[in-house]
Amino acid sequence: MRLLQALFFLLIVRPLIMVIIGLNVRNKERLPLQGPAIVAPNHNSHLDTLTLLSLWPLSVLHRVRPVAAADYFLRNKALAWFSLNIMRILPIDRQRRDHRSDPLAPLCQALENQEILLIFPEGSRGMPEQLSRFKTGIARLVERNPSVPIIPVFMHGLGKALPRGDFLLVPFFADVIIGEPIYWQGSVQATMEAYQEAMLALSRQLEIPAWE
Amino acid sequence: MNGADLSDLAVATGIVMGILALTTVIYGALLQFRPNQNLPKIGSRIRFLWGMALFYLLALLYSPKILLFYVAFIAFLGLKEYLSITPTRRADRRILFWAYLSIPIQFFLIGMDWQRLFTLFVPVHVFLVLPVLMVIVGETRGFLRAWSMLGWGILTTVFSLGYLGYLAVLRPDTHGNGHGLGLFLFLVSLAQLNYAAQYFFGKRFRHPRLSLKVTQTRNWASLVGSILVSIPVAWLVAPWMTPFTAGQAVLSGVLIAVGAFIGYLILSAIKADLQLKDRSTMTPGSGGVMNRIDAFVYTAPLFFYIVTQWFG
Repeated sequence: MRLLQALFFLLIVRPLIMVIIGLNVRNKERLPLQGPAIVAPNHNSHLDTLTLLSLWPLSVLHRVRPVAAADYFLRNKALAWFSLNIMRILPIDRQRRDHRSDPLAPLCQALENQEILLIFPEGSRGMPEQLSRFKTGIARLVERNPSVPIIPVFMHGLGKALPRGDFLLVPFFADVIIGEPIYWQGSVQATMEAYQEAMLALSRQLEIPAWE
Repeated sequence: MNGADLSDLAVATGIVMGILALTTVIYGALLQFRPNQNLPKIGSRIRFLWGMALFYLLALLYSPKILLFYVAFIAFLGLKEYLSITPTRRADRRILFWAYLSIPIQFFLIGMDWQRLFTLFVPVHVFLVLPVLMVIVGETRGFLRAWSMLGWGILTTVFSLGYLGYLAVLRPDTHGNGHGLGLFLFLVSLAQLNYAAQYFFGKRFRHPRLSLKVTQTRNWASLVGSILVSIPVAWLVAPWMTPFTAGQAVLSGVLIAVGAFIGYLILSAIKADLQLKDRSTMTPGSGGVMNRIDAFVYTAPLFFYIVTQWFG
């Protein structure tokens, strides 16, 4: 499976992202190559996860676990197989039908296994190229694992290339800016504020042309 | 005068590659040993020219059509960059997809050597087809601005580079003179030479000035100086690359000098208008591709027109 994943990224994803899209990555050296770490980008497009995963060297790729909604990515057999084996997602239950179980337990387990979690705090893709409200999951994770850094990542352009609800990919260059790691700030709210601050600062580094 | 044949062209190619290699070595050495000197940032330009050189060699060895793929790819990067840094309308997302399709169509027409259709296609696509698609989408707010920006984006990238590609596959004329790759080599070498000369003369002589809003490094001295360099070089190399007479070589030299100058200024003005930061260190996607193609935006169509006028 690791080989299959590596081949998929080498032969399909990377050419697509490098040639059709084209990335401008800033501060690539800040990308964590070893777990435990949480990488927290904004979310505009299905291309987000593929683009981010294409940044890691193939040898590290299997240690990166995108956290994704079970009800969406496991909705049929083929997609479930692809999501679990090639994208190596950590499925989470968005509906929380079962209140006794701890929804963060599998994520903490992954951090313990030295894996890198890829979490989109906006929850879903939202309106293209706009930041939605952040959910507090990442702060609750570092509350339990204070040594784990949150790496904020701001992306722009992929929501133009493939927005929600559209299947036609239109090429646009995309920007990826990786920020400084953020650690547990003593409270969930303070941690989220630090993250929000960092994301805004990153987005201000870009010159984003109007897209009305 | 019977123009250059393939062996002449091979010699010329060797010399041009030698100059490129020498430039690369000198520039690398300067970066290494004089890092704090205010060097022009041409690293990415040199890499771009090596890419072109590689495809040019393949074209020389196998088929000129190989170069079409490279030039089409540069056109794609250019249009993609343009659309990424200019404001576009959400409603036009799919229209942009049709704009991109102009690239394979245009280069297919070049590959088939359908010159008339090639000349017609971009104007028809930009001024007749795209606006129809846009009214079907139906968003009127910003319609004229969006259409104009898209059209001129296609003209500065797909249209102009189409001529550069077409030069490479031009066939020898009825007298067996000339070789498209020779014309391509002539244009690219002279355009880059003039780019360098204009930088040099602009640094050396500060006057007479042009608008500083457009450029801080070029002035009227750049233009005059580069024409004076371009004429003898064009006259010297033309017999090795082209079927030109001495007069045609000199005229081409002047035309390429003027064209490279105008192309540089116009793309500088565009970049200034878009307020792109730090115009010296541009990556592809934020003005970098424009920097590479500025020398061809004017020179390629004009040079193609006079060549086909003389030898059509």
